[in-house]
Amino acid sequence: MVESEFGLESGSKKLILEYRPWKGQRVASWMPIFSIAREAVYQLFRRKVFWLIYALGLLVFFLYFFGQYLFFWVADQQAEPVVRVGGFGRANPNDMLQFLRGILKMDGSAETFRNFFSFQARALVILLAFAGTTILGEDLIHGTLLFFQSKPRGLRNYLVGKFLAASLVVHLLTTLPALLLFFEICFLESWSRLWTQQRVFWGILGYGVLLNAGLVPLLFASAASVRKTVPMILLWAGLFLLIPSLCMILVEGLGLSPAWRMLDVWGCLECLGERCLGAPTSIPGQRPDLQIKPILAGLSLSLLSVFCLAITRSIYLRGENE
Amino acid sequence: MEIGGKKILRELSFSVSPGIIGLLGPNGAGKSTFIKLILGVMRPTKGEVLLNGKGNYGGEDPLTRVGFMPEARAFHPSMRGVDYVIFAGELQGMPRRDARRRANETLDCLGVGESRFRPMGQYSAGMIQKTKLAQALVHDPPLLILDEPTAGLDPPSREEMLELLRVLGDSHGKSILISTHLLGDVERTCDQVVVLNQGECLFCGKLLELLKPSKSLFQISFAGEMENPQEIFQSAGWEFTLGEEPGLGVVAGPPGESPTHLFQSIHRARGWVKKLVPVEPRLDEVFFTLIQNHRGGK
Repeated sequence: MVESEFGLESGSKKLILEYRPWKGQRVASWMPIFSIAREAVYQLFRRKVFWLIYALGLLVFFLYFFGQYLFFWVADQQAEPVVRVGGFGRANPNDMLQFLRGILKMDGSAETFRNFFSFQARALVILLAFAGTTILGEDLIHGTLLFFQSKPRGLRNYLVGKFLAASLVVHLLTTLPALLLFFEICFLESWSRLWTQQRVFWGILGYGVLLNAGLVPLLFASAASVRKTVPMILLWAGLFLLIPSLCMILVEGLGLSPAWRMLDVWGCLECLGERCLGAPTSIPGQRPDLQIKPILAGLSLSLLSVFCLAITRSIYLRGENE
Repeated sequence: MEIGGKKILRELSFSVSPGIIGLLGPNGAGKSTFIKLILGVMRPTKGEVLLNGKGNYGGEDPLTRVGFMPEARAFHPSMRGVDYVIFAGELQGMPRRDARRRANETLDCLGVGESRFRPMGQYSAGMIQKTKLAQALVHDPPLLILDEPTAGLDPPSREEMLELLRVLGDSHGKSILISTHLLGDVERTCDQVVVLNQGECLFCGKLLELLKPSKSLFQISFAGEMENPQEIFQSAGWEFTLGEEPGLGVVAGPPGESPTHLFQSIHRARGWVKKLVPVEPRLDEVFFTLIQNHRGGK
């Protein structure tokens, strides 16, 4: 008998003596979905790069968070002709209020949240591209898919679990900070806003669901096809930075139909999102007559989601392992 | 079974009884496809796979009774060994508390010990294989499907893994299907063999049956005044193949034939036998003969 570094004889004797059968009760077949989602999220949280991108993404949130304090403080100082703003010098409170309310829209209205979601786009795109390769692409690279498929209801539980994990990433950067801002404004102004501004509250949730439904299928399809982080970030940067500029050139520069904006995924999400919030329907920087119609935006997102789900299904059903 | 219009497995029909079963075949024989069919990852274009008499498509019961150890890494390097096995248990429908207890027990039994709390990216090949075996075993399935369980292992670790498999099969009554290229592993561990080539089953049955010689073979060393040994052996009903030196060679007779006549014939020709050693057929020789005959037949 050969003695190995782990002690061969003792190992097999231990197995003979100590191995016990398991006769416990199994949980419901859909419960592993939560284990898959939890492990995917842990996988992501173990990466330092994730926290770096997330922290950068939260800078906009902190700008809004402290901006609200500034807004309500300035609103209290309106009677004064001039106020001292920390170490930055003196300013007229009415001018400041005009700037915060009129230009930055930090008044807690639907526009505040529309702008907040819009500013989060870039950070969200980068974070999702990174998350997609970590929680989906790496499974295909490491051949983990067959491990999942060999379990009861493997593929179904896998896809739903990963969908939950990706949704959490979307909400961590958009819906949750937006809700925090909403409650902060209620705290600073009045809790009656919970009733008077219900539309905004539900709008935030609706916008979150919309982002989820629009972006996660796209994430699945692209992460399953591209799999590696850098190409994935390049692909998403192209989709969310290059294509919107291209659409703008086509519609505003070349005078083509606004239907071309259907190619702009984020533009379509914004178009529908601002309707969820009940914000004025004019996207900053776009001529109102050249904006995409909501029905076309909805059609574009629906077609994209169906297409992405079909690609995802075909890749995962093929059971590809590298 | 067809993939992309190409037939991967054809007219594959066999059944195996509980025990340790070796799944053998050259590259492209269809071993991986066959495993995917058993796991229900792929569906056969015709026919069905029955596990314990039940199909595995649409229902979930059969897969709860199977533990699969993939050949690929199938884990994230930052994951701790114990977490990987707990996770596998949860995916099999075990409550988290049970999965945690069983994962620690199984890893301990397999000799992973305290290393189970280290990230798997830091594991040696032997530890990785044991952890993968533990995740297949955590829910105590009666059937284990192991894809290349000794791949990349050094000889002591390989010996240890084979010993663990023998113990699981013999002492704990597990049925184990081992897909491997290493014929020596099969020879030392398995009692049944399935040989695949180009999607067809060439043999399915007991290993001893496969290794049963079609002729009685002996290595012979003789001396004396024999002028034409070839004729002498032929007159006794044995074929003789001369070896590298005079007086050395291999004799082949009908199966089960005792070499008594051979001794008498040599004695009559004024010779004597110095050494007569029975030649046992080796699995690799039998395997290559099977494959070559199959290719030749096509």
